[in-house]
Amino acid sequence: MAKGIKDKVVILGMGCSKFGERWDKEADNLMVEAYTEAIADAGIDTKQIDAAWLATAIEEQHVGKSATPLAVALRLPFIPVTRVENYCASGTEAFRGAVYAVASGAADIALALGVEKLKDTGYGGLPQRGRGRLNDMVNPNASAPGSFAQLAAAYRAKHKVDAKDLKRRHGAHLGQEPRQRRHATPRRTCATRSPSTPCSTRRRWPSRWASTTAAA
Amino acid sequence: MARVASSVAKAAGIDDKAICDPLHANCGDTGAAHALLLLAATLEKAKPGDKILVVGFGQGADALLFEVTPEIAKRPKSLGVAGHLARRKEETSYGRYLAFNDLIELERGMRSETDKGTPLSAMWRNRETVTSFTGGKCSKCGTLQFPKTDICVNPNCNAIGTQEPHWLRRHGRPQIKSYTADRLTYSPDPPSCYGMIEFEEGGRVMIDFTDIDGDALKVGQPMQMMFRIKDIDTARGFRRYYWKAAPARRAKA
Repeated sequence: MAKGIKDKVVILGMGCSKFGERWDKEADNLMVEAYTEAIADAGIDTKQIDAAWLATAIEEQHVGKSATPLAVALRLPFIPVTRVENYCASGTEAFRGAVYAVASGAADIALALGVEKLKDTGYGGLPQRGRGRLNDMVNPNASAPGSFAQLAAAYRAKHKVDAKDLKRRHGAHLGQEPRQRRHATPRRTCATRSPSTPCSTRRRWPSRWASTTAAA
Repeated sequence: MARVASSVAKAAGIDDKAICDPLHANCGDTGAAHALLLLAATLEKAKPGDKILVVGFGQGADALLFEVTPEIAKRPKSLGVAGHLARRKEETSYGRYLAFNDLIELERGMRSETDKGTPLSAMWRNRETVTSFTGGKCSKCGTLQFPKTDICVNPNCNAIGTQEPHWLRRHGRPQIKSYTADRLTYSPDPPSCYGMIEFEEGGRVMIDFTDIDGDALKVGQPMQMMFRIKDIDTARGFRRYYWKAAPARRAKA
């Protein structure tokens, strides 16, 4: 019978790098920025960490594969390090891994860190890249806005929504995300050029750089 | 080139009127495929008793002589050469002509730099999916699916190893279920139009659209499948082909 993790784990400390276009920083620098804030918040020392999880989705744009970049950047001692990837949910996976390690009793203190640094591609939005051999042979060269725009197309047809009304609804919805609140007023939304028909908003893609850390 | 056929016919004592239209005006030269393309075009108009001579030459020459039999009446109806030419989309912009035929140096942008490789082993393995658009039909529950995989997509079935090859495009026309005109992703002919299509008898697939004009980009639009260039691997000089969905049109011919 599954028992879950309730009342078994606490978050000791959190850290977050400054958001923005950090042209002068490597992913390593962002990781250190978030990490130092987290351990100061937790009041612990690196030597007390029993295991660590690194989340990054598009590693070829910055740190490369495996959890080694985390161990190198933070000069971690000889502890197990794990890298996870699950698209935009990657950070959650790292957090879950660290929490489960503590809940299971395998670790007293575990670290979860997520980092992404995408704009070194030289353009905004998520990087264009291969998606697997067969997928590249048969799938459209879909961008993320193009993928989501299809939902709007089907929604419009099913609920008989006029394109102009959809524009406002969609804009209001996007405003729920804190980072987008500033950008997604209906007036601003309607004035933005459409990246993919029929959506009329330019989502604020995670092309800013950030690193967040939690010590559980 | 157009005069070669006539001069060969003259030398062989064949009536000049027997030479078929080389289709240079509205099709162009399809290279090694051209002799067989002209044979297909000729068969579409052939009557029992007609004699057809197919001659191809390059580094050598082949001559094939056919006689049409009454079986020609049983030829399955398809768009054929005449139908495809009748529904073709003409490109009248010289700029686009130069760009599509790689006759001009273009700044295609960094999003075009992705190397998708040319994995010949994977192409061979998936040849039925990629070249003949073969999906799967579950022999246990009858659900159609694309691509054909090991486990049935129907959540109430999920049978393993039960899918028979099934030619989706042979059984009814698909319709658009969702769409987008993507202006962010790389395409040599932007915007990149694609979306989900559903076949009349079942089976859905997200796929590239082509020949999109006017208001064709709408839910419910009837489509037909076309075998087209998927993309060009410029690093290795390889053209990848695959199927795209185009708005269904009635052929004039």
